[in-house]
Amino acid sequence: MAPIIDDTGAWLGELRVSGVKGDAALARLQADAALLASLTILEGEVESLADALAETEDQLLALCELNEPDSDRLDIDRLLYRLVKQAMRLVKADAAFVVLTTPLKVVCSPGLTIPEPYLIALFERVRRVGSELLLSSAEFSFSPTNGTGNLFVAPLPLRERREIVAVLGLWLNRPASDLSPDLKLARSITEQAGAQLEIALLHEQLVAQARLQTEMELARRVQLGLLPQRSPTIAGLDIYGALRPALQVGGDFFDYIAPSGVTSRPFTFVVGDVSGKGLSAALLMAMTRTNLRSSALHNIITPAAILAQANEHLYDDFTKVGMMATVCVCQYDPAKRLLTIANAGHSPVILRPNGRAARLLGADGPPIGVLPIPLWQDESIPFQRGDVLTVATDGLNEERNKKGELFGIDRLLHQVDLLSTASPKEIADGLLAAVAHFNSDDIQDDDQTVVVLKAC
Amino acid sequence: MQISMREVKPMSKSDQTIAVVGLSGRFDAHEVPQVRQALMQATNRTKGHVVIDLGGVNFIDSSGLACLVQGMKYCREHGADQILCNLQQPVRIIFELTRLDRAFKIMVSVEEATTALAA
Repeated sequence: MAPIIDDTGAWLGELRVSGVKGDAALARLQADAALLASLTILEGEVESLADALAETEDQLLALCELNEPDSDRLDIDRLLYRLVKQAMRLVKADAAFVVLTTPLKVVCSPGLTIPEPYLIALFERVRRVGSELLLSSAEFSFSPTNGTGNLFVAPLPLRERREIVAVLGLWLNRPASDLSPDLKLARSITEQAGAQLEIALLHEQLVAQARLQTEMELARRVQLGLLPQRSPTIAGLDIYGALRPALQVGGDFFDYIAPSGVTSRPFTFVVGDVSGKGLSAALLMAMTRTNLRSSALHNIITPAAILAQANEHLYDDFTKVGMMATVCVCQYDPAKRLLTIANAGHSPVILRPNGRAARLLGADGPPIGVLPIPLWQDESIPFQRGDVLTVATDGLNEERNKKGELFGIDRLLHQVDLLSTASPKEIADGLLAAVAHFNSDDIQDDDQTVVVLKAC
Repeated sequence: MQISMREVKPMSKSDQTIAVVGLSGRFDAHEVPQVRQALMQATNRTKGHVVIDLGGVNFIDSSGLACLVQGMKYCREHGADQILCNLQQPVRIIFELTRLDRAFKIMVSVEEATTALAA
């Protein structure tokens, strides 16, 4: 009989033979038992190596998945969920979480019992100190996974941002002395995840920008679509209008209101400019235009009354959003060759009587949306053959050149004088060209609108 | 754009404080959010009148004008008044062209405005 003992001295079994005797047989038996013990030990080592290999393969797979490029990487929610899952697998953590601010997102592994406000407080702490934290379970008044261990919280570094916007937290049920290789791996995971998060955040930003740009483009199309597509035919009058849009959506508009079949209603046209830019200006422009059109078409007779009604309808809305609109309303009576104008803070309005110098017509009341009471009055102006009325928006006179000089009212008056013998289209195009030439090197800041009337 | 704010306690029967908000530079759409906030703060802080010193403003566009209109309405909602003063020539012309000079109280200097409000 010979015992089979492993390298730690533990008894594994025994080898017995019968029918043989002598020292030689015993020595052989003991040698065979030692061989069996060695084989058993080797088999155990192979098994543990196979386990270690399987674990390493699992980690490599997790590492590959973490780095694998696919469309999910651009989805921030999925990216954070995967990060929590793969970081746990790689570092053999017992629980994990990620906190991202702007937009605030908190993703936790199922086993984590730390309340969300505490995770956000941990994020704030990392942001404050500017580097990773290693906290032992003794520092908690509760146990994050119902066990003792350490919590490692590290920032996800983003190259393009100096401030910390996200952290990865890992709970490890192991003593701090055993964590060195795990923490090294965790740091490299945060580096990798930071790069991916940066791409996802940039992608989200680009998508938001593209969406906004599309909406602005739609608003711009609506704004331009509301403009008259052709000039009306009015006896004794030649008329032309143009709007040169700025890069950003503005609040300029003009409209011709010529009721068909209602001879008692005069031809009315309006030019307006809602303060501000962007979607809000475009939206209020559409409201203002509709309101003015509705009044002029249905029940209101004079320009001042049209403005008064628009102000009554729109004052509260303009007040709520802190905006206002300058509007010039003009009517033309072909029989009397008479223009009637009411002007709510609009400028420039330029009259150039035939053979005389162009002059600015001032407004007779503030823009609509400023005061709840109507202050506008109708002013009648004879409009004889060769007279020119130009109603523009401040996008022309407030255009700047590269020296910072304004185009100004005086240059506009001078241009109207120079162009006065031309057709309304040539005058409008000439004014816009002069302004564009003045600001040849810069981007157009504001919409530029010109409507020109000429008595013929 | 530079924005400054100070409080003035004029010699008068009432002990109401007047906020003086000084603006300087180009007042356009880009500056509106910070000016709007300053004007609201001025009204909220003093619970009283606001004087806006436009002495340093060399240009104002329609967004800037709308911001001042909003400030005026906010003041009036709170039972107070807003006075503009020290308008430079280019800015005064814009107020005249748009006839906003009919909507705002406009005075020559901060002293004149605070005296009028304290009276």
